[in-house]
Amino acid sequence: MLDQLVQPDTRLFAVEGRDFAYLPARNALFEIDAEDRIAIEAARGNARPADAIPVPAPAAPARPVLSLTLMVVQECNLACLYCYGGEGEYKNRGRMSVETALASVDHLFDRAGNAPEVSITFFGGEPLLNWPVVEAVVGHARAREAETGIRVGFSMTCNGTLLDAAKSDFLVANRVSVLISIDGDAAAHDGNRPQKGGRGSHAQIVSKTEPLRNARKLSARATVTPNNAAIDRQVDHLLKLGFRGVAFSPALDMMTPEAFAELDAAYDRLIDRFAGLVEAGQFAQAARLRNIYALLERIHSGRRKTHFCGAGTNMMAVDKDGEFYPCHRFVGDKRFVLGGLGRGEEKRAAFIAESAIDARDHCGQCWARNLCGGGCHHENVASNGTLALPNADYCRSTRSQLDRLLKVYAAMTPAQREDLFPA
Amino acid sequence: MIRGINLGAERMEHLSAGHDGGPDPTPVCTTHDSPSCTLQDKCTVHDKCSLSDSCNFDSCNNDTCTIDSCHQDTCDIDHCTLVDS
Repeated sequence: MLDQLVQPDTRLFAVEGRDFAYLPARNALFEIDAEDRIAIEAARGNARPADAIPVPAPAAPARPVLSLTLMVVQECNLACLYCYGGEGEYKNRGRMSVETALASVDHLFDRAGNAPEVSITFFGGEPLLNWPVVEAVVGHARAREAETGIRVGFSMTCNGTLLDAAKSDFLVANRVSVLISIDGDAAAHDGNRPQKGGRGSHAQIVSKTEPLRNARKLSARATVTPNNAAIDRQVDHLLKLGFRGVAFSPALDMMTPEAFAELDAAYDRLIDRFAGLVEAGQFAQAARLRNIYALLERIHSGRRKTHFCGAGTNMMAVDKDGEFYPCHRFVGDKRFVLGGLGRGEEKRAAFIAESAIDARDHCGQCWARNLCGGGCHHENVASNGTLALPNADYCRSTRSQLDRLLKVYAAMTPAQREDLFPA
Repeated sequence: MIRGINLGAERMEHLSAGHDGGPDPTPVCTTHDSPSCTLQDKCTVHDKCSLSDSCNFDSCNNDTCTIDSCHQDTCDIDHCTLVDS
């Protein structure tokens, strides 16, 4: 086994006096003796990449799409500063028809093959602006579920301002997982997500989501900007409001170097908190810190992340007119149309190949490549004009987090890992 | 002493012992939205629910949920859902 650890990019580190070796090519983490560490350090200068490592079987070139994001409306009642969709309109304002929505559902089921489950996400714009289509899709998809035996799951990302009792009841009754976009407390959120006209939206969201938050039915997602870069404080605020879990992600085009430094410090504090919760045996509480949990789960699983996400691989977004895109963020950028209703998915295979981590020279030498996946496809294009080149600040921040999390993971006991990541 | 810590290391040890490891598990997320894909409170049918806080929906009363639907494999992003096998 020692010879397999002798790789140019094997990452050696110590935690509490114990030595570890992380092997990027296989996402494999080993505890080693000091003698092994010395041997690896001495030998790896002559190593060639992937020497002695069993070569993984290539991923299937094209998997069926099992998850569709329906852009049920390309309009929004908010005017978020960082919106990549131009206030939710994606250069093509309007609402999806029931016919287009149901044809999209049929496309999903008809091509799912023998998959046990498919997923439909309602997105926009603000999806609650086109409620009749949401209801119609749920009804039709349930009918296809009964007909085919393929289970269907639903989720929705919305801003929460248009929730009412009837909609809330429907979402709960139909097991639609709802994610609320909210960026923290009123000061942070209202600076990022004003209503059209300029007034803040925080108070309205807090009021409209109260019943579902109290019933523990909602999760939150925060976008990080210089307004809320000390994101750990905002995560606290959202957890106290009753959201089941909170995830966050930076709006890269708004982040200044100072804001990134603040965000990195906040990540460090969250990682410290996560480690403390694990040490105290509070695993469920730790898992509510979604960003940290997800990266640790990736380390635990040892699975290579061949693509940053499922965009184009086994998920697609359908715009209001029935055009297919890798994900909601690409909607409106005709360079990335993958196909369309009635035409098929003619460009999806090419996108899968182009967006794979193994196709990226830039990432090829990065030790974190198989944990990271190479950055959000859309953010890469927005930052550098190409799928292949991630945002530099994102890379630095991600490597920093993963470096710390490898050590946190290594320090856990086997029992803690088992409790945190049940098989 | 070289001791595997995570499941990736266990798979390597398995292969090194001469066992057939089968295809490398290389999952792909089904989801979107940036580094946070983690969410999804969707319950799934599973055989254990050790994290008591994790289930959201009435249908999961007795059995099974895990922290999020990504547990099967995949993703890191917001509405992550399914996965590959």
